[in-house]
Amino acid sequence: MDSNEIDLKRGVLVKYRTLIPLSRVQHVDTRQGPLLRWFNLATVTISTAATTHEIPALDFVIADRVRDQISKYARLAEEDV
Amino acid sequence: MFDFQRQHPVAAVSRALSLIKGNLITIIVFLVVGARSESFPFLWWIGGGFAFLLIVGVANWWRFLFKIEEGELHIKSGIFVRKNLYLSKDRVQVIDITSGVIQRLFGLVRVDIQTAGSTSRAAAIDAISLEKAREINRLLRDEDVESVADEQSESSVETEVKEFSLPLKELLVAASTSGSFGIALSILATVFSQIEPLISESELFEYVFEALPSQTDFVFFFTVIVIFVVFAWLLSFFSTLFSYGNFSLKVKEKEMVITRGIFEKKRVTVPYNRIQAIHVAEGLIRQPLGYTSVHLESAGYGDETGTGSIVLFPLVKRSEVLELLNDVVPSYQKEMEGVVLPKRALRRYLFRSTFFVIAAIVPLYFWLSLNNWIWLIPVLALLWGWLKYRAAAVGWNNGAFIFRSRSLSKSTAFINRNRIQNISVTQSPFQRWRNLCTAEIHVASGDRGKSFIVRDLEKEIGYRLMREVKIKKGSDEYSEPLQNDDRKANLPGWNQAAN
Repeated sequence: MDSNEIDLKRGVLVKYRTLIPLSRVQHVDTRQGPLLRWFNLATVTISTAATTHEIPALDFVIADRVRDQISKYARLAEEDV
Repeated sequence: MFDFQRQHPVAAVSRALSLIKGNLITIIVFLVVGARSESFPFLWWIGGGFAFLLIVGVANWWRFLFKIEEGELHIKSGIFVRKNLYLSKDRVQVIDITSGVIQRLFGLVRVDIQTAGSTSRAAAIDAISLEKAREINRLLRDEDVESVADEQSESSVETEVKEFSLPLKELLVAASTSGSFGIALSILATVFSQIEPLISESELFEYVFEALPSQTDFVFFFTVIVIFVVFAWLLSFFSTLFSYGNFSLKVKEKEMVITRGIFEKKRVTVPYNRIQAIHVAEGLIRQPLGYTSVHLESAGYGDETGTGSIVLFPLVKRSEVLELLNDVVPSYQKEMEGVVLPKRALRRYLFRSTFFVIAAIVPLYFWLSLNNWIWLIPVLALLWGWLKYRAAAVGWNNGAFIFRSRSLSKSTAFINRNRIQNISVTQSPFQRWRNLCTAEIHVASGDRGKSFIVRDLEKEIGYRLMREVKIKKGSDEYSEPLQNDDRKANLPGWNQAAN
């Protein structure tokens, strides 16, 4: 992640790589189910106007930081939809 | 305008009719059930149903109040659950004034107030007089009379309006080659399954059976299928004819207005800054005839289906598409150099399109000992795979992208970088082995978004596309040039004879 894009990679068999320009981010959430809470983890969800993306099971503190960072960058990279 | 007021009473009727339209299938089912039950006479069902709907309509009308105060529209509605809607002037994007059949009978209009959100049709006033509609328009818009739907005021106020309409011949072609064929077929099948018991009780089947020259089962079923197809075709022909008749596209300074429909007029206003992507579809039947249809994806402004897809122009000759697009959306870059797929991708395309078909047919063939003609289907699938392979291509140039692919119809999408929500590049294990990848671009459209996919690109191209999206604003200008060993193509390629 840098000040312009979020770059996600995932997949063992099928490999995905997704690029989300930060100016397209609509909102960011962190989520925690009971299981994740037990392990002090959280999931970051990034929503654009078209899709939602997940960064699953980050450390709780890091997840919070990622969320704040994304929302800060997203505000900087402001632009119309 | 500053006190609460009701709509014109005709709104009750129009509401009742729209309820009928919305639940048509359910009503038909009920009628069929009702017709067969002994306890109630058939007419009672119909009469009672209408009375009930009318009561609902009147109640709705009675409970629907609206006023405009200090630039804010306030609508109260709902019979049991009261809904209060406040809509401030600043958020209003477009005010559409339209009229359906009932409204026109009484000289009334319908007002649709759209905001940027995807539930944009929430604020609608079903039936009021034109003067009131004008007043609402004036009160809710700063620059008044800008887009009053009325013809007299329009031509005098608007500067530079280009208008396109659909000639009768093209309309007929559009109707007879319409893709809603499949939908019509499924509707017909549903209706048929409902009324089939009625028909089989009557002597119709036997009558048809007798009338046929040779009475083998095969011929009988064949005729039934042919009759079905003809009916479906007629259904789709007329539905397209009615919904796209009187089509016109007006291009204004900031927005475009699409009007269509013979009996029920539909009107969509799309401001330019809401357009997310444009794609041109060449249907299976239309492509050989050289015809295409042009669609656009918009954020928030869709038709009733909830997607943001709007038909920009229902039918236009392939050779004239670029001309049309230049007139309507000059800001889009339409011609650029692109890349087609490497040869080794062809094998994957052929395999993908035939695998399931063959896997399904082989056991069927041996178990049911089917006719040899069944092998025509895999051959068609093979051809289909080859066509898909031929259609797939991508192009990019200074922040503009073209994605071309085919599922059934061939679609060419024009996307600008500043509208891309995200881009993904995916590799399955087989693709990794062949050094290929799948590229997918998402744009906003309606409430779910729309994606354009091209499968089995050279892996390098996929990553180059990604870098292309990534380039920062400001240092925009460079675009990685294509290398010589790439398989080049000129996109969109409508002028070439080969395509």
